[in-house]
Amino acid sequence: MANATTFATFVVNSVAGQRLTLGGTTYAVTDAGAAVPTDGAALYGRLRVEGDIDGFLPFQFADPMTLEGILTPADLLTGEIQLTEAAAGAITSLIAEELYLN
Amino acid sequence: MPKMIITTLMDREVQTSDTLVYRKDLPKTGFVSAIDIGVRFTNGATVPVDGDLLDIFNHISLLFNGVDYRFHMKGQDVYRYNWAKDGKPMPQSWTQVASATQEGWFRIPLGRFLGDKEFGLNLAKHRNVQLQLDYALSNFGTVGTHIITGTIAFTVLLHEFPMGQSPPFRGMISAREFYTTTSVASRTNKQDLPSQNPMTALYVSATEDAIADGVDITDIKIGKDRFGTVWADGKWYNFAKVFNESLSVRFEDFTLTAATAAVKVVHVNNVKFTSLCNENSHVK
Repeated sequence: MANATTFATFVVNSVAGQRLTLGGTTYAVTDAGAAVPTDGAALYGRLRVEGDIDGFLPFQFADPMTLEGILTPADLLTGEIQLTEAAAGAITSLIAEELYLN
Repeated sequence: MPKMIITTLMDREVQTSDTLVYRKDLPKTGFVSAIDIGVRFTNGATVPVDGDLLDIFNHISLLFNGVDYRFHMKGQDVYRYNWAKDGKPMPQSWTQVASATQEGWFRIPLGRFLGDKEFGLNLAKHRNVQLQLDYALSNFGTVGTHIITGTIAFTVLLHEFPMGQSPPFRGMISAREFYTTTSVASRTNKQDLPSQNPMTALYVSATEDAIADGVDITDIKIGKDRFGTVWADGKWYNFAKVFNESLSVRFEDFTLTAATAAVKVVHVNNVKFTSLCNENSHVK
């Protein structure tokens, strides 16, 4: 005897920046085997997304081990950063990684 | 490298407040290489719609002697900073499953690497060092609907050298946010760099929902003497290409539910690959 049931699957319909729009498809299954979920709402999905770190850039001045090339306070006295902004809306932070000498 | 120990300062301590600047004084002595912060909370019966655990922290900070913020960043930036420095993100368990526990970890590094004998935090040199966790569960979703109230819990671990060992620290390395803004159309935004301390690195964070990297901020130039000396000058997309190729991990994982599968905001851009695996047996 055939038993009707349904289950859902996910698909990625589109990607904009770091925002994915997902869709779901519900399938009808006419022969409910043991592996088929009987309740679509109880179905879970794993999403893996690969790409670049969203909106984050490092500028390493010092050698990570020897610290050679570190910017000194004398360098930094007239130091500046210039951001060319072309569009509105980016939440922006500047983060300094500093050495505190004993 | 000498054997490090992990000291548990807090272990899943549940907080009664859903919004607070939580303050925890560090011990008066010790040689600390890094501080790990774990956060857990419980999803509500209504499945959270696209909430982001990283948004819970307005700032994670390390305050010295009551006046000097030597580590100070938004939760979103700490996550990216950890990933950029270590090549891989700190462990996260992001799930939309109703009544499940979400968990995220953040690290405050204080040396060049974990176990650095030359650079780290010597607590005895300071009158007071305080960890501050400025959090609001409402940044994630509606408390009581998407999150169960009173379930946020913190863990704080110190990576330190054993008692009796005194590594010859020459100083400490730490990172702090020194400028924030929201980008505007057609602006050249120049900012002075802080000059109190030697600088090992500078990080630029610029994020906007559903916008590709390099659109809001197109070019970055860093230098001195009105750019008579230039240390970096180029396009965001080129810097991003070179930097991201050096990462050992370039993906994130999420657990979704069928009921809330419409939109998911992640923390990677220039998405190259997505995979979805459907399951009907799931470990929360």
